[in-house]
Amino acid sequence: MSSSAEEDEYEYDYSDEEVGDDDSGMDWNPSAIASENPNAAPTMMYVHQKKGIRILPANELLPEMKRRLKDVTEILDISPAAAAVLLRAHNWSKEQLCEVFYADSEKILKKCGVNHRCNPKLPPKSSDDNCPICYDEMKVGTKMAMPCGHEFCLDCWHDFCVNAIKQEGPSCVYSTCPDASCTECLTEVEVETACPDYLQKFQTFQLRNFVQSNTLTRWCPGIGCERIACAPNASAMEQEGNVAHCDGCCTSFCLICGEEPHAPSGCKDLALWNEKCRNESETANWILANTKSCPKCASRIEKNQGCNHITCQRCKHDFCWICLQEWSTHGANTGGYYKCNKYDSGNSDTADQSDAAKAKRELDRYLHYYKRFHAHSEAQTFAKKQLNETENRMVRLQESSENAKWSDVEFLKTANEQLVECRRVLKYTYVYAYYLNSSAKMQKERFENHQEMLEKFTENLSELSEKPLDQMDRTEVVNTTRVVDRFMKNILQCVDEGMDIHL
Amino acid sequence: MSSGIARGRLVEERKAWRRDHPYGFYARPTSKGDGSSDIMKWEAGIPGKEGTDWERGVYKVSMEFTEDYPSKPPKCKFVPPLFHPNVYPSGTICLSILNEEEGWRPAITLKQVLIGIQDLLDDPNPNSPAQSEAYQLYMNNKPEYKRRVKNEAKKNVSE
Repeated sequence: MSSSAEEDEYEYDYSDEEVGDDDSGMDWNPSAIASENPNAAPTMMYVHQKKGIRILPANELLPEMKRRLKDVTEILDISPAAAAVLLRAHNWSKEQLCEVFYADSEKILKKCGVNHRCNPKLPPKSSDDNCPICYDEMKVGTKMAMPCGHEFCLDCWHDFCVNAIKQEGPSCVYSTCPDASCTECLTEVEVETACPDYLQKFQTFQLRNFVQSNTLTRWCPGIGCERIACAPNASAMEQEGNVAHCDGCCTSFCLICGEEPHAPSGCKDLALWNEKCRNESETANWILANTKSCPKCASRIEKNQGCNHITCQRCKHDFCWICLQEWSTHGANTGGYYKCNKYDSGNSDTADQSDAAKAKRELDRYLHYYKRFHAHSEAQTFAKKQLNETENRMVRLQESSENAKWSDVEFLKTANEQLVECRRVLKYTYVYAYYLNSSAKMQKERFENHQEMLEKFTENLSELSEKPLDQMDRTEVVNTTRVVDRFMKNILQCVDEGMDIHL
Repeated sequence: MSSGIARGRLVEERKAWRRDHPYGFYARPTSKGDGSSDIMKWEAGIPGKEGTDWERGVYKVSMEFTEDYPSKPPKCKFVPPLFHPNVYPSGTICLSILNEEEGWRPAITLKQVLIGIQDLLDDPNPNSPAQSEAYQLYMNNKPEYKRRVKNEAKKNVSE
């Protein structure tokens, strides 16, 4: 985008927005479908990019998994159960497995716990008549052993398998023989014999493992959701900002990292940020809630008691806790020594190069971004809550005006969905900005301009959509929704292009 | 595990132990207040191996079993807590075969558990420190660590 086109966007005449002139947006909006219907949730359209990411029910991946199993079974001449164990240990990659298998098959079979399964010539161990788990007598037909030959009674096998599946969940596929030092791996063959009721569960965990090891697929992170996002090829998967929207549970997530969609911030930055916040958020919250900086030396001060006259422990500066001005200026004219009606924000001093000052500046910088990230995060939660109540509001709005159709009140829902999306994007703009190279000044300024506009109109929309129903101005809400949507796409576009320039 | 298997298995463990157990060890169910024995709570003694700094000491261990045994391992504790890198300040022993998520298998016998703990005494696992004092000395000050171990053996010498 050229800078002049960008300015045009800012000077956009919003009053024209009422008429659906879609062409005006074409130059900056790559997905034209988004503007077709002003009442459709535009952001969801943006999410559904034409990259061919499909959401499939989990069982539709079974054929692909079985195909790989069958291939390996034939190539290596082993049982399907052994093939599953071996593939699991090698990211379900036939090539990876074959390579190590041909290099040293015995080693790999032992390591993965299928040595006995693939070498059935080993003589079965003759154990005594008592089950080594319950010590009850084992009769013929009530005992079972994996190919390793360790026999246990069927009851104990049943309990062992159920315990593994229930307690260990997805990692039950890695369970080994109940014998103390045996490494032979449990497979669906034993599960099928010992506890057929749980076979399906075991197979689901096997499939889950397949999905997790496959770089082109990701299990939907929605709670209890059994759907899978599939990318058509590696390039679609690797492109950052790839977003999947599950039509089963309505969860949106990043295909690469599984987190909530986080554009404009990248996956790596987001991981760093989350880690940083995990380590520091408690500290950050406390500092923001309880301290102020000394206006002279900028050390953080906690006021835990006493009056507003603060003497800084470090530089002995006397100042007022409320307005941060020098204490000497206080007196009867400011409303008395213990009251202050002034307010002015502190200023920061960048000349000090001591380590403490640097650390302090770094902390302040982090706090600056964290504060805003956190605020938008809270606002997003609030907007989501509001979205849940929107339907009720729509019903009431429809009833309040004569001849109103459902489509006449749908703008409320659209506005609210837009709001949730904007809060999410705004939240991550602060992660992006925090990690933005400070030397890229132009880029940073441009980004902050976009951010500011999006922020301004988002607040605007937030205010409009929360108005009491009798003051609701449909035209205004619809217009603002569209304007905000543009700004949101603008900032994402700006980042996309900025990244290109950098590469 | 189906109900009742824990007690049945422990009765058998008790029988097996009486038939045969390693030299210097003891293990028995504790007695309740009324004189009967509590099969779910055992006390055991583990001798330090000869030729190590732990020798001549017999270290007392309590073993608590749940109804989920042998699906789940018993909880084993040194009483009183022992100076050792893999023993928590509470006395609880950090050992892979005693951890359900790691090495525990239902077929591991009581004898194997106690021998496993004996092996741990002179062969600590520096990758899973459980108390800071013994761990720090083991890593940074071996002479002092050995002195403390010998001291521990002296305190627990069997009559």
